[in-house]
Amino acid sequence: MVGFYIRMRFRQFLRFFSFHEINPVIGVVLALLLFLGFSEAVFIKLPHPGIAYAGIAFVLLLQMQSPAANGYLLHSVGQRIFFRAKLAEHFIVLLPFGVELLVHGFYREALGLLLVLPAYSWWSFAVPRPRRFALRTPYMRHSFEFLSGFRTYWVIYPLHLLMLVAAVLSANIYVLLVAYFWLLLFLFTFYGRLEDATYIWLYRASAGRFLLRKAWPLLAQYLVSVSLFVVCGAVFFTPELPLLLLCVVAGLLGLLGSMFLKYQFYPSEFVVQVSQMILLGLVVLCLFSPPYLVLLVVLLTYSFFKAKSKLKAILQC
Amino acid sequence: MLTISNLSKRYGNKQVLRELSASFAEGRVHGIIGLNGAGKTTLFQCISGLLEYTGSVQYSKPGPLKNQIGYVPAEPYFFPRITGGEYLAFLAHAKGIKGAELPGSDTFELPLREYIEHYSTGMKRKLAIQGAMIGAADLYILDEPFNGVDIKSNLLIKQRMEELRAQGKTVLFSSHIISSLTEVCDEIHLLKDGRIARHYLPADYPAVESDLMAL
Repeated sequence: MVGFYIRMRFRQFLRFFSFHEINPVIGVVLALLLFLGFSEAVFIKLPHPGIAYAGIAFVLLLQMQSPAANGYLLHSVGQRIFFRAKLAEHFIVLLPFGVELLVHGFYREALGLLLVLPAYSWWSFAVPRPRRFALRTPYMRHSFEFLSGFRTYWVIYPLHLLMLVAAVLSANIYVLLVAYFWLLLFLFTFYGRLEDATYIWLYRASAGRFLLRKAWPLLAQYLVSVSLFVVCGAVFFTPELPLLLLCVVAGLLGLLGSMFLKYQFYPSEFVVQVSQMILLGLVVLCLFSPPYLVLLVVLLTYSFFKAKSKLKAILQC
Repeated sequence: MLTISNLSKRYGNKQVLRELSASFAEGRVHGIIGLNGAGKTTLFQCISGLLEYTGSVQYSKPGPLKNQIGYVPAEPYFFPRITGGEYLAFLAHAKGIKGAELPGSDTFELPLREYIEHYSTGMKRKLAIQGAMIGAADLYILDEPFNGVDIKSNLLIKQRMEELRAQGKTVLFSSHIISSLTEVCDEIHLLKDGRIARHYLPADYPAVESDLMAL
């Protein structure tokens, strides 16, 4: 049964390329090249690359989980087979990341990734999720993205807080930056998620107004989310404050850009995700070379107008 | 009057709608029937403007047609971790209705403080219908509204349609449940081979089922 499940998932992986009219062989080669290039960039550019890389791998694993599909599988095959199937699937997904970590000499991180596997596979079915009643929030009427993302991945916030505490205790600016990018990566996923066309269509607003109505809550939610990071930076890392503020600005521009890209390339999920990853790379680049901020602003403006023209067709205005 | 002229829609090599022409009088409830794959959902999506098409869709009232439509898709999509109340509040906000409060009670007695993923299929359908009723629409398009709903809600939906008709609104809906169609519709339109093949008035309703069986 586990073998059947893994073969089925592999066929789904290949069909992902066919669905986007890419030959699966070319698609796999491209994915491999993209993975190797991305991995090298992380190991060369990021501080604490081992931890960051392992973190990215784990986030990717979280992203691949579909509660509906997991629930269906669990009810179809029972807990024991579900656990084995998920364990095998998670192992295969994390294997290339583990190999990269080993190749670059990050043995502890590779081991950590290996140890987290059974725990996460067990957690994905054994921990009950009884949250039947939701707390009201001030964001309720605004865009779904943050609300939905926050409630799905709320655990990132306590972890972010822990990383901030660790950064302050160790007086390590790099840990502080990792805490920020950890949060930013998730915010990218919140806002990068494509909604059904009906939820764009129903807005009684022009394309520009639609984008503004999405941008304002994003701004508010982003500032609230990063406020602790800014306070920590201002109080405990005062000499590095310009760098931290640069992070905040670049992150905000990146986040806005990711939302505009979503509508620019709507409804092609694959293109949206690839372009958002490139944008995230550009945000990181801005920290090493601030003039790239200009490129980010140009890209943002271009994407805004492209998104506007795409939205005009859906909003019929 | 909603007037459709020479409406065509193709998905790749598959021609779903072929120069379909029809008119739907205002203040009436119109049923659309047809076998699976006949193009009912595609027709609704074209009228709403959710799909691009060739031909024309004209509505007698001024202003963009889209803003006058209350639409319930065949398979409503809901974001995860959103409560029913938040969904309705969001719809009100998107439609520019100011000061919409989280509704405490509603037509279908839904648990609005619960996450939508905990709703049953029928409850999700009822929530989508309630969402479509938010805002002052003139034309309601309901794609299979009776799917999965219990007998009490079935009656409530029919009552709601009759109320809309009494208010002078136009309702277009599709269903495979013939009794629901014949009970509530003023006219029924049979969709076949991408065109409206037959138009029934209440006196012709006894022929609907046999015509469908003969397709």
